[in-house]
Amino acid sequence: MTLLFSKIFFPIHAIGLRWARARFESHPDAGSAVRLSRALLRIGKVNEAYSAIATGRREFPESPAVNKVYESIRARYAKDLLSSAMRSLKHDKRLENFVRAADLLRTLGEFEKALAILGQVAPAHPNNWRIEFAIAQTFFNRFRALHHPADLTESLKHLRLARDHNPDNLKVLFFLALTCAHARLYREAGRFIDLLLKRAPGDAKALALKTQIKQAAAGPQVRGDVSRLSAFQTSIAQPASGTSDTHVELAQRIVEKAAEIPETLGAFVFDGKGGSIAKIVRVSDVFDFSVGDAVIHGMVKSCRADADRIGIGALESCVLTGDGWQVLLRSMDELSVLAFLEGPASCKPLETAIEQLALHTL
Amino acid sequence: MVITPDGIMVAAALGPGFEEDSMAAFAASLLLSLKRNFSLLKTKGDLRSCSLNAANGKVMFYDMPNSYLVLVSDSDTEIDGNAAPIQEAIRKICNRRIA
Repeated sequence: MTLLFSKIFFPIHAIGLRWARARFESHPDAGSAVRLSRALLRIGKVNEAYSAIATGRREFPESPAVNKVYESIRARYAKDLLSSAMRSLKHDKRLENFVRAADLLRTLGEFEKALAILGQVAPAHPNNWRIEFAIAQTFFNRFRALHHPADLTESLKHLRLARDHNPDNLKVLFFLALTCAHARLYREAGRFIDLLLKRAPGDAKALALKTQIKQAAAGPQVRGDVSRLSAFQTSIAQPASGTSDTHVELAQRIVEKAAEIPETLGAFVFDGKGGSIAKIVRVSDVFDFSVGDAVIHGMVKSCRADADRIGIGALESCVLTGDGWQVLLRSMDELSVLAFLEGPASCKPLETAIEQLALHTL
Repeated sequence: MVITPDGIMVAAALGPGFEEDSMAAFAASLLLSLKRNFSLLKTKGDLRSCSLNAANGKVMFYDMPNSYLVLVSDSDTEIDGNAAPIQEAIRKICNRRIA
């Protein structure tokens, strides 16, 4: 029946297409771009409709109508391509076909299926950057769709693996910078974008991202802002009066360093008066940090006071080990750092990093 | 030193400069307060050990059922909590039968 209708209406659609094309050529605006791509879609030219609307989107990126049609045609186009990719996957099991199918599933928002396909092929290709990159992209897209911070963490993990296997790949570097920026790891994001620009100095997308990272790093999140959309909910609170800028800077660098360690679930820096200067918190089922900073600072107070009362002098550090977690307390100058890590991780690397940062900053 | 969770010293062999009863009391108070904090943080699993490094020494606590093993050393000594003698001591204390 559908076929019959399309045959009947084909001449009408063909006339409509001619008219839309002429209109687009004489008045190239957002509306004519939408009309042309819809007309192409009506006569079944999905590929051309996608090209037309993609061009329109480049010309009019702010137009809601263009963006809406772009999304729907892109989904339709991806569905068509996916059907063909799945068909070829049945008899051609090359890696690129799996990655292609996963990319299309990701585009359509089928994240679980995309991860399943990649999980299926990954054991046969260990240490393959393309698989790691495709997994990272899938987690990143899922993060953008569902805002689960854990997805951003997973994306970063796989991007780092992809970079280990292919350190010079520009796409991986760009995505690393983008994902780090979303995780508010601006220093790291800046480092990756600089590496990319060293290899491709004129890359327009990279230059635009670099500007965005700079703006974001200098933006309002520096004080008092909490992002629930990043892997870590970062907060650099207003420090108590009397806290020096050096301490604030050191606190920020410490939490950034802690965030680089995959096992970190949370890191808090308190000043001498017990005020929270900086913190990062990752949602997990090991600790519930929503209880408030006072409880966390209570641990610092207990350890400091009792070390002195026991008779071993001023507290320098404390490591608490539990069932599947560790907590490091590092006390220095007027700052106290409390880091929560999951797994049987050793606190030593973080402790050494904190010491190094303190040495260079204070 | 072995202490009970409420701060009573069970057995001790401490060097000069440490007062056994007060040390047992402060150690128990610290562990109790930490456990309370971990409970407020809804922590998955229990606190198993604690190692305090301070300017004049180190103190390590190990949770044993119904008691704590407390080790005290000077600040330069490196002690591995998983070291065989410590684990063996914990095992022996845990399995000790009172006639």
